[in-house]
Amino acid sequence: MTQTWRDLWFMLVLTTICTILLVVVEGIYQTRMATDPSLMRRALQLVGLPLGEDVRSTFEQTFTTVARKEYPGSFFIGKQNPAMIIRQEEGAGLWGKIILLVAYDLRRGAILGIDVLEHSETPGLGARIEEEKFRAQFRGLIARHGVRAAKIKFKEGEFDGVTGATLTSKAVEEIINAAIRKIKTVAGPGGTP
Amino acid sequence: MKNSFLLTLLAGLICGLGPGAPCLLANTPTMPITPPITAPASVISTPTSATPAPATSSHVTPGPFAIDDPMRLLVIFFASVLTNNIALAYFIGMCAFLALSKNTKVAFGMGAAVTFVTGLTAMANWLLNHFVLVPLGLESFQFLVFILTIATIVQFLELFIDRYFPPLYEAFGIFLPLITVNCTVLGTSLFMVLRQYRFWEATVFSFATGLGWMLAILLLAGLRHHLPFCRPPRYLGEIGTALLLAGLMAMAFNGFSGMVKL
Amino acid sequence: MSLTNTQAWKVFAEGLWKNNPIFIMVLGICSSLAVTTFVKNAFVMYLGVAFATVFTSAIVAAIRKRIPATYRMLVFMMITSTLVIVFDRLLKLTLPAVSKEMGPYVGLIITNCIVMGRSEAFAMSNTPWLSALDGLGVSTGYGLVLLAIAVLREVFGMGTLLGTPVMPGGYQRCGLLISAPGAFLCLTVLLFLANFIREARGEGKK
Repeated sequence: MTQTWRDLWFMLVLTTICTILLVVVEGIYQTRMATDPSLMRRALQLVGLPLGEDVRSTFEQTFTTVARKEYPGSFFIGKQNPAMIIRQEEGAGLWGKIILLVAYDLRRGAILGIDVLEHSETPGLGARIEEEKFRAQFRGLIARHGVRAAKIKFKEGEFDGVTGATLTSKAVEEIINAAIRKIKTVAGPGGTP
Repeated sequence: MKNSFLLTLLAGLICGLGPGAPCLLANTPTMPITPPITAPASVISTPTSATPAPATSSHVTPGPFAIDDPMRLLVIFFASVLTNNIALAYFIGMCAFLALSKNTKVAFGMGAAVTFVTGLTAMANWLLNHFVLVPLGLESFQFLVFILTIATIVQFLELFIDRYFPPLYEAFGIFLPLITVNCTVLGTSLFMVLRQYRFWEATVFSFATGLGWMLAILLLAGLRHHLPFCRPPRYLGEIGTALLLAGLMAMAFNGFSGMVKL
Repeated sequence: MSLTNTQAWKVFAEGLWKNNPIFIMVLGICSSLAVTTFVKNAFVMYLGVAFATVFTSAIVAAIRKRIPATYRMLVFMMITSTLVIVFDRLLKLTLPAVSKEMGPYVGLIITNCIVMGRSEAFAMSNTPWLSALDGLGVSTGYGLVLLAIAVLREVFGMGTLLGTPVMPGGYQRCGLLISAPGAFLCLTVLLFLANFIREARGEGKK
């Protein structure tokens, strides 16, 4: 009987120590991850702002980071111009996850720019979403109701997909639309956060 | 085994018809991963929808139990058994793969046990991950929780089978304790989380992975069965020969690539 | 008394060759095949396994008299998985790209038979200091084989070493070595060589 109790105590203590250690490690990890300087640099470059001497302090002066419980990940909302919101959004591509950074201007209903943080699409085809030529067409694209990949553009929010990579273009379209949808909910019905 | 698989498929159909129906009708392939053959079909069908931007209107996010693309389940099944065979393409579960493939009977027992346990634990781990770990933000405990679930389920299964199905226990009971440290089981759970499968996808994936492992170990055991009739180089040793055979099998399985893609 | 005569050195050196986990004990094959397409990944894997093995062995040895015999597997697994999670987080912070390439194989260190094998076979009956050394020796033996496979595969399969091109221009890359079957073949060749050397030195096969 005493042996059983001793075993039980041992397991309890061990579990507690493991849990405490993990919680501490996870805490450190989360604070470090939330302030990834390379992400800050890309976010600043995306909206065409100067990096300044220290990327981190420039970023903190320009944006406030907001988290929403229903959507994992953060929103970066402009301090000077609260209609400018950047969202990191991910979705399934053809071969793997695609992660985009989408900057959106709520007042004009326009995309300010997109950046491809990560993808594993076919080199030479789907991978061309990384190219400046593809990304440039989103700069200033009016997209009040989202975007759509199209062969001939005659409506608002339509963009040229990558030739020969229809599924990748479709995935990019969905990720951008999801980002815009979430940005709009953060802003609330009034249009400003 | 057979019964549970049928039940899985049946329940999947019922669950998928409920929340999954709007997605089928909405004509938007939420998952762009489809086999190459069906790709032109989706290309033709998508631009015909009249409304300009389906950003807010038709965005029905399918629930975790929905099957919005039954074809995808089939693709996952074939990919995990053949093209992305867990033993031959990902090298997971190698220790048992080499150690227990001397004899087809043992290989079959181990394969069946692994298939069963992989399927069960992946389902349990998916539910735990989706309803406990993710909502509480405890993703960092995934490794720990998964391995404990596996150990618990294996222990429980051993008792259960021993008590109620003694013939089954005699057939593959001795393999159960070995499975806790078999990488296939944990590897499947980790891949499932990494690839963000929904519930039925994860279920099909895990059972198919187990089946793929069983296929590989059975084939290897069959090949090793014939080794006494030939003379492999002496310095290769038993394990070296098995590795060489596994390499040749991996080459043969490479021939399946391009058939389906995961 | 030279360094090579101490007991500590003997424990350490045992794992390098005489008791090499891959050649002799045939443990931890999964990761040795999966992460060896690049030397960098193989080295990170070695670090991870060494970290997990050394600390698990040391901790298990330190509390070996208190570990309940019936739950000892559970205890090993808990310690190992905690350490592996810590390593995974460290890797994600310092080398996010490598961590992504390794995918689930970092998590699979938990079920790497080397870690549990050493806890069970050595740490349960030895002092923490010796157990840590034994863990280091075994994982270094494992790491050396890993690096050998990785060098073979990266140099001949990609024509690079640690990302810098080393082969002469116009070298036709051997795609087979990078693909899955190449991993099996590389390990087979190494196993063959190891057995050959062992026999030539008269150590005999075990």
